Amino acid sequence: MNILAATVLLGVAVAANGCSSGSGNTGLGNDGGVGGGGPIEGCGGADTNAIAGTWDLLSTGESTHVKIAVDATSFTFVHGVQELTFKVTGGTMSLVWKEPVAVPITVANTSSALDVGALPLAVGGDWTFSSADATQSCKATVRAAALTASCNDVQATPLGALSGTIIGERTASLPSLFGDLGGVWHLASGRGTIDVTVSSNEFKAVSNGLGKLSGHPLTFNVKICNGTLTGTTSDGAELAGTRQ
Amino acid sequence: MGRLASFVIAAAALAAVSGTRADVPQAPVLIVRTIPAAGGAKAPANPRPDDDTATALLLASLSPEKRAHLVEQMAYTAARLEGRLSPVVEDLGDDAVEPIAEFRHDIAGIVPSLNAAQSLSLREWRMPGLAARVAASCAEGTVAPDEICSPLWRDGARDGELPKVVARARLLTWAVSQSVVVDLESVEVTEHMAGALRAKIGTSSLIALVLSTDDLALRPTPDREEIRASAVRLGRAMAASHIEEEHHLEGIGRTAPRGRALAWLSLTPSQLFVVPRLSAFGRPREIEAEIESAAGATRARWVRRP
Repeated sequence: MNILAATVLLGVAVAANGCSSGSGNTGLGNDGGVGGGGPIEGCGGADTNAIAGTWDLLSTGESTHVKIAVDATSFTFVHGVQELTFKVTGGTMSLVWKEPVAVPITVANTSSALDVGALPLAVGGDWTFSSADATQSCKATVRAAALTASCNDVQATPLGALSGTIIGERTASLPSLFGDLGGVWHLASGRGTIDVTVSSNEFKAVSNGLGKLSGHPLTFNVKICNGTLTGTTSDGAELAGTRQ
Repeated sequence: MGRLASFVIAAAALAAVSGTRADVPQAPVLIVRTIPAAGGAKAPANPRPDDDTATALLLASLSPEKRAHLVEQMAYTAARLEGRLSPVVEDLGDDAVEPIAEFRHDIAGIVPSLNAAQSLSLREWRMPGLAARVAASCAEGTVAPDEICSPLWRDGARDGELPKVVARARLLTWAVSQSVVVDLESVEVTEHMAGALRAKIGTSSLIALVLSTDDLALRPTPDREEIRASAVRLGRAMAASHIEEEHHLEGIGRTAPRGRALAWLSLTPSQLFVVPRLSAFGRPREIEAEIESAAGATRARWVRRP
């Protein structure tokens, strides 16, 4: 999987990981905050249902096709034999990684209010993810103006090995399709920084030190418009997707 | 038989051979096949692109200046790699940046064009659940009973009217389904227009490839041998440095292929086949605006479009 597909997965996984159905919660998805109804330049007006559905994503390079399905109670990512499935049934959440053998991941959440706009799954709250034997784990906190995530030597993920901590701060707020997530974010880890701007229907990221082009920042831009998603990176990789 | 009756019979016969019935899609066509789920097994891989054809289409779409820059970058990168391998020659570049990383950064602007050319060179496109191919017509494509034959170009019609599987196939075959054929009325204007559009490739342009009928005939660019020699040198330096090529540029180091690309497409000398980059998917009006801007006072006639 190339960095483009991995970045898309990361972005969507962050959204999915934030489902508001935590331990003892009811499993409700995002009810669409005011941010989701903001104007979308060049897309013919607001689209509060811009994300929900099943998407075909194509990327150039070796990754080719990814399928992502997301609604108020589930998220599925499929790339070849790799599959990540998150489901909320009643008050119970399940998260399974297959490649192709299924590996269940224990997930727990304490939700907190956060307007995520058109994302069908709510994001706010404190999260923990751990392997069945508890030797590998991650935890994350997502708030309106701050997020943190840390992992303890998690192996064999679509993003490679995950280890260390990343801290993000929203330094400015902007109107966007994604509610409180709209704005300018600065994320820092021990390996480098990422500056992210979420504005209207666009997502832009500039990675310093975390990209694969040594000596040059890696940039990543994605735009969602009328059931079509397109993206570019500064190393020439590209992405396009449509909602079925 | 009266003259009127003769005319009616002649017209009916002409219609029959030229396929003007309403249920026959306008050529060329997109032929789509649904593939049953593989039951957990890995789906068949996408066929490999024809790197030689892709390279020819890429080089034809680059301006002479961009081709010269490519030669320069390959020579510089090869010299850096050779310098690192030699005990007596120093790497003259920035030691903090790997030569091949710098090269990949320098050619990033043409990677979308290479990807478009590679997609164009495929004979069949696949994604989980469906396969698609392009033919000059449903008859020439020998459509099987389980296949759908639909027009490749919709000439402005809306995608919402399409069967879901065809809409998915149009994403899969983006390099052809989103392309445009434009007529510039004369060969001179067409050549000028091709040059103007190619000069913008690799910048903020949404266009990946600009191809004439000569380019589809795989006519080598005048500097093809110089490009090949430079690529061979770089390839040797990379191999000696145990560096794998990521972008399938091997075709640049081989002799130009013979034959004709895109057998289903016929262009006149005054027409151009314009292919957008993947990230321009679903933005046909912006592509047309870019072409119209390059055309200036010349009227561009849309022959076919998404």
